[in-house]
Amino acid sequence: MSFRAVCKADVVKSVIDSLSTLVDEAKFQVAPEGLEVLAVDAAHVAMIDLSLSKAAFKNFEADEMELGIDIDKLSDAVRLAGADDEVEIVLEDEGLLRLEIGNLTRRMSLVDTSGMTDPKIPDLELPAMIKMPGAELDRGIKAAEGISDHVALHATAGGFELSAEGDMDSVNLNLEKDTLLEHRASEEVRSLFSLDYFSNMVKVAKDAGTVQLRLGNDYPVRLGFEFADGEGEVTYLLAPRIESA
Amino acid sequence: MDPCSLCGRTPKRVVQEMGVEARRGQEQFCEVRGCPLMERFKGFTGEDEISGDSAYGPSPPSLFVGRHGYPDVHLGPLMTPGEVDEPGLMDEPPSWTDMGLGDVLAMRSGLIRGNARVEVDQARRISDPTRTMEVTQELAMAAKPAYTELSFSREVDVDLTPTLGGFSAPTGPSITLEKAQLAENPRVPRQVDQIVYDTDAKATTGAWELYDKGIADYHVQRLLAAGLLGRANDRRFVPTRWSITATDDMLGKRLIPQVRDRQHLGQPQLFFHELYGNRFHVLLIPGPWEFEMLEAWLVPKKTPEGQPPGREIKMLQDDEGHEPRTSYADDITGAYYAARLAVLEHLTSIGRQARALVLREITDDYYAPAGVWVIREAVRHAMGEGPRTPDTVEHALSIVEAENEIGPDWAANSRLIDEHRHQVQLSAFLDD
Repeated sequence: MSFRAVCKADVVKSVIDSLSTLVDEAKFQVAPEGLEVLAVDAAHVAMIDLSLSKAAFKNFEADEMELGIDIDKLSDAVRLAGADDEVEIVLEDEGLLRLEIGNLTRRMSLVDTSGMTDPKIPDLELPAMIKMPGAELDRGIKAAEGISDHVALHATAGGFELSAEGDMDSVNLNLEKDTLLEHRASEEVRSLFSLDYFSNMVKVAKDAGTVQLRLGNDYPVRLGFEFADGEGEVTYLLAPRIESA
Repeated sequence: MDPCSLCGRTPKRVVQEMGVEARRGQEQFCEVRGCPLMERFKGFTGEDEISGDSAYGPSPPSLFVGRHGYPDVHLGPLMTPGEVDEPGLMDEPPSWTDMGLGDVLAMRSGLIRGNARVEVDQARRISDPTRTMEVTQELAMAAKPAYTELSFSREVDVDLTPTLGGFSAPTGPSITLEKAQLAENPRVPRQVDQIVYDTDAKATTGAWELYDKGIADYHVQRLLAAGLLGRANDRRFVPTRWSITATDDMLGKRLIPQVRDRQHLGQPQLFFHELYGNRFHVLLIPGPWEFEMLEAWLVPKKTPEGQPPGREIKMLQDDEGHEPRTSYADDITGAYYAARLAVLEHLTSIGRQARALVLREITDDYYAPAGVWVIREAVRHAMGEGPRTPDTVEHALSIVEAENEIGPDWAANSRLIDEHRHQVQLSAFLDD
C-alpha cells in the first residue's frame, strides 16, 4: 500500500476547515482517482460528504485504502504553512503519516478506522434549489446570529428568504429570483435550522463563489460548494428543528 | 451601601463581595457583631475563643490561600488549637454530608487561619522558602493530621466565628503569623511525593496522575493551591477559590474523552439528592455527551405599594456541547465544574455517555453559603443513590416540577431540553 500526495497547503486547510465543524477525526477513503470523506457529527444532526479529485494535487499516487485522521493533529501540522506553500503527505508506515512542509517534517499517527461506521445517507427529495454567492449567504447568517439561535430558510416561486426572530427583534434577508445565480422552486417550502450548526457550515462556504442550497418543508437542508478550483466538493446535510418533536 | 437584610445595620463587610455563589438563595447579609446570622453561628461555636500569642494543635491538614491583592496574597496553614477527636475530618468534605449545615459551620469555625503575605511565584523558590511557606506546602502534601504551632505577631483575643465564602469551606478567624512550625513529620503518600518532585510534568498531568491513583480531589486541590503541581517555572501559589474550580475543571476534562468514547445511555434516567436545602435533580438524556446546569431560587418581588409582597424566580444557566467549554462558566461559576465532575465520575463508572442536565433549586433552608463542595458531594450522592427511569424526558420533567417549587421555568430555560424537543436527527429521514 502506498500513498503520496503533494498539494498547496490551502487545499489541505480547506479540507480541515470543512471537516472540523462536525468531527474531531475522520475516515478518508483513498483511491487512485482521489479521496472522499463521509462523516456525521456526534449528535447525528449533520453530516458532510467531501470529495477531492486527484487533479487538485500537483502529485497524487495512491492505492485503495482507508486513512483515519485526527483533524486537530493535521491542523496543527499544517498551521505553520503559508497558503501557497507545498505540503507533501506520505504514508510512511502502516499507521504513520509523514508531512513535509518546506524543510519541516511532521510525523503523525493515524487513528484506527475499525470503530468508525459509515454513516447512512438519507435519500431526500428536496424540491427547491437556490444558488447564490457564499458571501451573500454569510452576510444573512451573521445578521441572524446577532438575534437568535435559529434561522428559517424559505424558498418561494419569487425568490429566497432567510429570517430570524429574537424576543423583540427580527432579521430578514430577501433575495428576489433574478438576483439569485439560479433559482428553482416549484412549491413554497420552509425549514428551521440551528445556527450552532448552520453558521459554522456557512463560514466554511463563504469564500466559495457559488453555494447551492436545496430545501424542503420541515426537511433537512443540503448546502454544497466547490473548493480547490473546482476539483474539490463539499456537501453538508443538516436536519431541521421542528415546532415540537 | 444597602443595610444588611437581617439586622438592618450598615454592613462592616458585605458577604456578597465573595462572589455570586455566596448570594445563591441568600439575601445580602453582613458580618457585624450582633447580626442575627452571626449570632446564629456563634450559637454553634459555643464559648470557644482563643487568646495569647500562639496556638498549638493539629492541622487536618489544611491551608488557605487568599486572592485579595493577587499576586501578593495571604496564605498559611489551618489548624485547630487543643485536642480534637478526629482532626482529619475537618478538611474532608465527603465526610461532612452526614452532618447538619450548622455542625459543619461550627466545626470549620474552629480552624484558625494563619496568615502570612507572600508573592505567588515564591512557591517555586524552593531554595529560599520562608518557614510559613514551607510548613504550608508540607501540610498540603500530607495525608494525615500533623501537629502544628502558630506564633502570632501580637497577642490576640478572638471569637471563633466562621468566615463565609461561596467557594471554599468556611474557616475560623484569620490571624497574622509571626511563624509557623510543624511539631511532627507529616505522612506524605508516595504518589504525592513523586508528582511534587516531578518538575517537568504540567499541573494538569500531575493532577490527572494523582486522581487516577486514587488521591482525593480535595487533596489534589490542596497541592495545586500550595504551588506544588506543574513545571518548575510555572509553579505558583493559587488562591484557594481558584484552585477549587481549576481542580474540578482539570479532573472533569480528564474524564470527558473517556466518556465520549462510550455507548449512549438507553433511556432517560433521573437522579435526586437534597443537601442543606439544595435540591439537586440530575436528568440523563440518551445522546452524545453534553452538559448543562441551571440554578434557581425565589427572591422577593418588587411590588407596588399596597399589593401583597410576592416572590419571583431567579435563574442562572451555563452549558457546553460535545466539546468541553473553553470559556469560564460565569453564571453558575464554581458549582458548574463541581457538578460536572460528579456527573462525569458516574458516567465513567457505568461506561455510558449521555446529555446531562443538572437542576439545583436553592431553598431558604440553605441559610449560609458553605462552599462548592456542597454541590460536588450532593451530586455524587444523587448519582450514587441510583436513578428513577421515567419513560420519557417530558415525564422526567413533570416529576422534577412536582418535587420543586420552581416548575416549567426549568424546561423553558434549558438548551438541552429545547434541543430535545425541537432538533430532529438525520436518522429520522432514512427510509428503513
